[in-house]
Amino acid sequence: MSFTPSPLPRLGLPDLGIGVGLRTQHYREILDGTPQVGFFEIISDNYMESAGKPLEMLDRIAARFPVVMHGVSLSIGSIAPLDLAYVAGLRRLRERVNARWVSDHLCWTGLAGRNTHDLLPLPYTEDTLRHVAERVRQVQDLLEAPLIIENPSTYVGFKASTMNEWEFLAELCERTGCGLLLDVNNIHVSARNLGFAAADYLNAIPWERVVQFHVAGHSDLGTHIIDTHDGPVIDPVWELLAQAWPRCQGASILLEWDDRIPAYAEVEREAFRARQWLPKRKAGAR
Amino acid sequence: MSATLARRQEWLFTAITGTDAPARIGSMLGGTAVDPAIGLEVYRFGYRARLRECIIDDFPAVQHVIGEAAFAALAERYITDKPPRDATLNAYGSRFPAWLRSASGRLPQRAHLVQLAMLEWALVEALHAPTAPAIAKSALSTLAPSAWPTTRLRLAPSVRIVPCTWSVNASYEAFRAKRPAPLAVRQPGAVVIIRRPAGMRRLELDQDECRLLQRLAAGVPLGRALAGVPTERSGMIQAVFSRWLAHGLFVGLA
Repeated sequence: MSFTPSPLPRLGLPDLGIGVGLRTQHYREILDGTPQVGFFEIISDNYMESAGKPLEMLDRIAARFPVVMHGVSLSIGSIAPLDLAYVAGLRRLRERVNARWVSDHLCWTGLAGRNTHDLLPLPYTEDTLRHVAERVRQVQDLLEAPLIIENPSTYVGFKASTMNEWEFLAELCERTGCGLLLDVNNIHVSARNLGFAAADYLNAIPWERVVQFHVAGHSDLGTHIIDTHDGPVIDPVWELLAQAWPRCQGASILLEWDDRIPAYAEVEREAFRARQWLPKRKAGAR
Repeated sequence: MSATLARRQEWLFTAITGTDAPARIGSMLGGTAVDPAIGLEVYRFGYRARLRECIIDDFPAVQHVIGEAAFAALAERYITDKPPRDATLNAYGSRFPAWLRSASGRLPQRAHLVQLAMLEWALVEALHAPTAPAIAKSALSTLAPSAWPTTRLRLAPSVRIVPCTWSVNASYEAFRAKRPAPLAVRQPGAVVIIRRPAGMRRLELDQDECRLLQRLAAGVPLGRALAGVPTERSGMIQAVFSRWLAHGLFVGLA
């Protein structure tokens, strides 16, 4: 089995419009109500080891709405051997809920048998690029589908890095045919913390590979910003989305809200604020 | 695999998960707007906060009994003693009850807290177990006595039997009702947990009931399991099974 990259924009994957992250607090409101979002994004890891209530809820939601999978434990950049059972679990879940795509982060989470459960930064070098590209290819062959890679929020940089994150990502796409989940909040956070211009990041993105956007709230501590997903999206992040989104030929937009989570209606309202920032010609269609 | 990448990941992993101040920050990290020590602290703080939150999520009733500060201290020690090994955090709390039993230091009402933690972990397991249609309430009453010696009862996959010697169900009830935790008293028996489509249920069992259900769960045929019930309790059997059937504990006869 092997994966052949698609030459089509968005890798041929659908534009699902505006969506929100599926959170357990909202199961009842979603199932009893009439959500207006175009899709839900699930945290893959929350369902892969469950045969119980979470999976039952997901089955019911996936029967009514498009679902995409977003993981936090693939650890694509780790030196530890790729967790093949984890990848097989991703594939099983994707097939069960007909997830339109599978994404995870450009990061590593731990070493063999040890885990931080955080999205840790990589040194951006040719050496790392070769390592990550090989693993992305391996995952894509196992999934028989493109892996969609998200840019992480970052708080430190390795002195050893010889390229920027955006250069690394562009080259990773080129070498593997993977897609991109561009988190514009993460670009904003990392730009402040690391000291780069967000415009430089956007100018280097291979836009035909962008499948999805993330927006989210964060916490500004003055000296640095932390990606907390605990509140509304601030205008500078919406502005980044407004600059980025028109460069794609349509890409799904998703709001993440993971802490101090309000009622579902408020999350959905916040997600739909994206419409105010998108070009008029497309706004009506979303 | 790159030896250089391995060396850098080993260093960062230790710097984040270690309890000592990280060494050689200046030689590994830099070139950022934020001070590397501050940036590294985001990961160091996040690592322990994430695991602490996981333990609090899984064992809120234990926290309710001993208080937030004492529980936070316990969680910190657990994180140090039992760092996460799995790819996901789903099972991180599984070792907490056993760890609590043998954790060093004075812990008032330790046996009660250990059993309460076992109850809470059983609830987590039941949440992630599938449901299955229960057998009819009449399934046993219509079973010919001649079939008892060979008939085995299959328990619902979400059933968890938590043997206990203390009043852990009352402690859990107090947490659910946001009432002050009652004084733990000796109460030998068990709490049985089952997840049904309508929600999670907890049943209190006395010692004889606990032993009977444990035998059935182990696959002992009905006749032999019932033979183990003390003679003076044999009158209870019909009422006990009626209750268990009403709660959907059994999903099959074999």
